[in-house]
Amino acid sequence: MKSETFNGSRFWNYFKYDLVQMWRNHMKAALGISLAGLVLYVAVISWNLVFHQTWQAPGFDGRMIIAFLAFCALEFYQTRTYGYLTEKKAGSAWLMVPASGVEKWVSMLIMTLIIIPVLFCVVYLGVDWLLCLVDHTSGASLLSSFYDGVSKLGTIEAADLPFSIGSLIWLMIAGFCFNFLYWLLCGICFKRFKIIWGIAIAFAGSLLISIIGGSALALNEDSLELMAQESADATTGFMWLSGILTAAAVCLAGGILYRIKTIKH
Amino acid sequence: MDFHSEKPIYLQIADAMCDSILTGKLSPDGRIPSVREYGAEIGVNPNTVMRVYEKLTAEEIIYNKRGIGYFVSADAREKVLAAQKEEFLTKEVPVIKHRMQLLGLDSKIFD
Amino acid sequence: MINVSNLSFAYGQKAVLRNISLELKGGNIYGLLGENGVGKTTLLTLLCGLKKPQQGTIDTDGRNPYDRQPSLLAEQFYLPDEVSPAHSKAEVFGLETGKLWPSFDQAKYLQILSEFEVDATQRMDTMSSGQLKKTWIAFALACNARHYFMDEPTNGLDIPSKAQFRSAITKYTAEDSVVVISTHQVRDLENIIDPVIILDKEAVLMNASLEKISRKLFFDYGSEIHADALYLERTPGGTVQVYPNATGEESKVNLEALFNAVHAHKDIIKNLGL
Repeated sequence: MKSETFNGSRFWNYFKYDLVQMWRNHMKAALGISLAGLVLYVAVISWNLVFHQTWQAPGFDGRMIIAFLAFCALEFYQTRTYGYLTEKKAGSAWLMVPASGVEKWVSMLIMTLIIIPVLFCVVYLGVDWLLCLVDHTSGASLLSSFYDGVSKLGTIEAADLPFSIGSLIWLMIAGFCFNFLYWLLCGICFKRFKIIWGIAIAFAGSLLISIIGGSALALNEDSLELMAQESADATTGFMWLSGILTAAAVCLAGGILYRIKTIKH
Repeated sequence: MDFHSEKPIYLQIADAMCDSILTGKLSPDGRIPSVREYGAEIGVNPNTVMRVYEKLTAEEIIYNKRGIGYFVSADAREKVLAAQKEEFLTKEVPVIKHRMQLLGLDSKIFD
Repeated sequence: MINVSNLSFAYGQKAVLRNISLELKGGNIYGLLGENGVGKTTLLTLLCGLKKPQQGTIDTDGRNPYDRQPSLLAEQFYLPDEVSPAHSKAEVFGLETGKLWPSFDQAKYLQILSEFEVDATQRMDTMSSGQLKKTWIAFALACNARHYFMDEPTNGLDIPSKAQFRSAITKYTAEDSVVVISTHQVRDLENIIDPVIILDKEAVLMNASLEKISRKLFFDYGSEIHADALYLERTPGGTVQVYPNATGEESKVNLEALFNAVHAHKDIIKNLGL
């Protein structure tokens, strides 16, 4: 008797299916976004050739900004990858696939948090690295400067930093998970205007937090001092932020599972 | 198969099978298709075909070998002939007689 | 076996199914008939677990379909009225998606596709709607499920395909399976559906085998008009009349006439025990 909640071979079967579907329907768009660096390169080179008659590749700062924007675009794209769940036809067919809700959920998390972002980063940084290798006017590649940054952090004495490297990485990962899961949840909850709804809720949420936070501070004057002390100790502040983000990401993941279990068509 | 007559479908199918036995399309002790095969062939619900087979089994025109399938009885032809003669004499002849009386015809028309 | 008891469902304020009870037994191809908007699709989606009953229960071999347990999903197939294309060739779709149903048989799938005259090497997103529907029907039947819920499966099929469908549904479903086919085109499925379920907003008006129906109701195709006919329809060859069967003699059930008779005389039909 196979478990109704999670069965290894059934999950593996489903995961392969999910991967193939993802590749066929969405991976190409995700890869398209990861070619933003190449688009920028071609655009800047042509611009400079036409207007300045020089061969000049985009500088590091410009490439960094575009990389950041592309990553944001990839986040928004998470509303699309499983967005079909809210469609009657495709969503019904998906619900009727013989795998458990938990299996579909785990597969979805692996796809959203690992496969798509990793593939994106590999392609984006790879293209950037190649361009820098071929064209010396580009300067340092994103990959090499990232590597430099990390190795510099490594050489600094732990005591010199107000926070540990581990907590920094944790914060980054928690923030990344929170963002991607947030957009995924928006994608499978809202039938239409998924991104607009997502932005609206994020806006309302941050407004709410600042109001609550502000009034809490106003009510309790001691807390202001406490806050000042706390933020002096950046490590504690980091830990708090990372902890809250992690808890929020876990809540989002739970929300996604709940949505999968209760979606109706 | 087209079902034009007003008889229930299962009786029409039974008639068609009996005709196949009379014309020799189905031979004595020959195997007949399974319920599902035959249902698929003529586009009819298996329950309906089952009723046909039950009826023909009860009349000993076909028989069921457990686990193997249905077969035409050795004396199926005789049984069908007897049944059809009986039906002709009891059902159709009176109708013809009645028609002939109405039209003022006598048995000379058969000569 | 599927047991539906006291099932109710509403879309917001608009009640669709009210207190429906129904028993579906293995080895039958049920025809689910009903006027437009009476909730045929809603009932099918409830039966397969896409919706949650608001009141009442559905029991499929001791399980609740809304739990969507993989073992039950593997044994059932819901074929909606409108299907979406996969972005691949029909044969590849079978290979990839079929793996999810433990009993799926690719050879059977290709066999049914060829019987349906669908080119297995054609991409599904370039197919006509009829071809696409046939591909899905072939896939569904190749899943070797025990419970089939098909919503208007003959919609969009051309005339030869309808005959192929009738043949395939008999040939390729297991003997103990429960097949529920909703339709408003009874002529497409005449001779294939038995028992017949007639659904109305308030109740199941009828859930009876053709044998039982023809014992209780007589379908008269003669030209002599009966005074107590529940329903009369003139046809080129005479009439179809439906009246309570007094002699016990069986007649050919005409589904359209049956449907109209049942709708015109709900009480009389109820009293007949159908």
